[in-house]
Amino acid sequence: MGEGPFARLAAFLEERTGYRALAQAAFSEPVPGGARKRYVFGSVLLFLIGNQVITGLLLAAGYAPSTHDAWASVAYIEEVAPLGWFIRGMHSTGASAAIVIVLLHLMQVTWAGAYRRPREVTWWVGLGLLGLLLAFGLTGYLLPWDQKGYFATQVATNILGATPIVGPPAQAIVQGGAHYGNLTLTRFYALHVILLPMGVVGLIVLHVVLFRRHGVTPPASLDEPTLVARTEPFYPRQVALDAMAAALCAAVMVVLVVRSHGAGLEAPADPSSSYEARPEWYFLPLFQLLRHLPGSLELVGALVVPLIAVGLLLALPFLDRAKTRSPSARRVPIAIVGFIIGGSIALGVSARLEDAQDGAFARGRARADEEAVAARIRFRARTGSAPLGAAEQRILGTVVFGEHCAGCHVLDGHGEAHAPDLDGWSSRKWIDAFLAAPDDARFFGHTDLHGMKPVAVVGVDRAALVEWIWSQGGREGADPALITRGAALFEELSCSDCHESDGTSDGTGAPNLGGRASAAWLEGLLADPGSARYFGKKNKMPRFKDKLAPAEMDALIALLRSKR
Amino acid sequence: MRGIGAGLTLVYAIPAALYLRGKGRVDVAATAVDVGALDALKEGVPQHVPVAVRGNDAWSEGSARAAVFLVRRGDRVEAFDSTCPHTGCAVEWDSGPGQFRCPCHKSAFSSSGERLAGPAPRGLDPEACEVKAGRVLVQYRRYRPGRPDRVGS
Repeated sequence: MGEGPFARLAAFLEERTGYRALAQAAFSEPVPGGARKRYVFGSVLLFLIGNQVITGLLLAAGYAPSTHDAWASVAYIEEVAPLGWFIRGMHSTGASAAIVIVLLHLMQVTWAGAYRRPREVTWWVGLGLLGLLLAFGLTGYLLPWDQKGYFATQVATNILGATPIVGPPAQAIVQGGAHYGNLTLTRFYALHVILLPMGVVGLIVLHVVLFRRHGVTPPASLDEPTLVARTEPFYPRQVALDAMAAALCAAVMVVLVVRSHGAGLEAPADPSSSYEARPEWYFLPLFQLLRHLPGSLELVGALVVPLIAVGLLLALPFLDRAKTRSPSARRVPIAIVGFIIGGSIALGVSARLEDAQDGAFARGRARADEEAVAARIRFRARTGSAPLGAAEQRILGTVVFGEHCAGCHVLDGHGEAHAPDLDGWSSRKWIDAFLAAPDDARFFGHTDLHGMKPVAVVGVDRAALVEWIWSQGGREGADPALITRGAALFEELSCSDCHESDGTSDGTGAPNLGGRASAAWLEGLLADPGSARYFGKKNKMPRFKDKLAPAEMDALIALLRSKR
Repeated sequence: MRGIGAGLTLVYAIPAALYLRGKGRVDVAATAVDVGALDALKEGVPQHVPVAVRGNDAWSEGSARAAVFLVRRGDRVEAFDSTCPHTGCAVEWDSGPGQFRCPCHKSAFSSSGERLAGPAPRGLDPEACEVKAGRVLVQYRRYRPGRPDRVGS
């Protein structure tokens, strides 16, 4: 025979499967009236679903569905996993693109009258696919367990719970109990990566099989002889058009993802914080309805209006009484779809406009952005995944201070005053005021650390003592003559009776002032303030040894030293 | 056919329904939690304080975070859950008009928790609160959002 191994394999398979006939049928499908650009949407959607499968599998390979780990695993994908940001960006952008294309597809089908007999079931299956895409979006953006996912999804599940009769048990099942928690994530994850994909694959197979059964719906303006005359097979021209459209869609997505550096990730979910929750753009019309209906009409906005819209779409084949497929004969069905889509766009746009004019929204949004940035910096500091720049270190220092120090210390107007005020900490002015009244409420007044007498010297001597103490944190910018004089005064005034100044020896309740406010001194203090080298037994400040990551410690030290 | 239906129900449907009724996050019956000093509160100005709610979340132990607003009235303190009773967003105090406002759907509440505007079906949920020896103690409890009456959840 002289055949190569591939030809022999093909013959082997052909004999057992008959695949050639299948491929032949797939590509030779006649397209009445010829290939057209307007037929590309279905194929572009298939491409987008492939994109979601590939990127979704990759994301699932790096994701942990638990309240403790979900955010960190997504931050890991974004910050550490090579090109993780790109893969997650393509997944998120692909989801939005699928909604856009499915709506274009729906409008094209409406215009062409392709929902009409005998294609009613194809139309219903398509509407089912649209519903599944929305469910994908809703279950997907909870998974990062960030502020947006947590609050926006909560709105959706609480509306579900407010539905009469079936609502409460349905809500309990999808969120795994009465409150959001671990089971909410595992259930949404199971829905998002197992149940919904199975449903989508099933409906797509049905949709394509039905489409193949009835074929494309050519423009109504072409008469039968023209259609027949221009008929050509699916391959090559329609396949080429479909492939070009998919490639264009992919190119647009890549540009968008690269420009935005992927999908957003807000700060980790914090039920105790306030957050300007807004859903993804495709749920904004519903959001807007809800915002403007009073509580008693809640279910009208959340359920009745959407159900009427869905009911009208499902009934469209029967509402169409026209004798021909010509758009001018089908004003009612086209108006219905136009009204639903136009109304949704109007609601969505008005939601955005209303937010744009709302100062409180802008402030809340700005705060959420800051928190998101801080959380990401924190993640990098904790995991040591990337070095921090100076600006990032400042943000991290403020965050660490807010979390660990502000319960007792005031800094930059934040915090509670149960311990020394750190505004201007260890600046010459601060030291001067402290020497004058160590037991003042601004200093050790609220603590158990008492016993130091106010320093009585004034004038140049006072300035010299202040200069010597100040210079312990770094001599740059200090006055050497004053330091020398201050060092002598430190002995003369008996400061040295209580305070060591070599930087290493233990004291008896008074801190060793050697290197005071230097990075090393601060690191020792923060690690264990109750050690004998610092405040000793009467100290009440907690130890931070092993509680802070090295980068967090460095950032806190830099923040405190910046006040000198 | 009926036998197959009964078999499937018994082997899959009923176990699935029971399995999916799992409780997930459960709050431990609340004891009063110290949320700060009375002196730290300004008369009539709501103060946002986080509350740790003890409980378990499926396989992990530990407390969840919630928050209340404390409003001082002389020697007494009123406390409100910061969760909006509409769909569960967290409200914030807007000192301009002197109202609580929900950032999600614009419900507004007075400083004593009454509903003033927006889609919320009821006022903010009051929380049991007492002052002992100058400390404010809150016994936090959650209520189901989205309904006019207060049902514990």
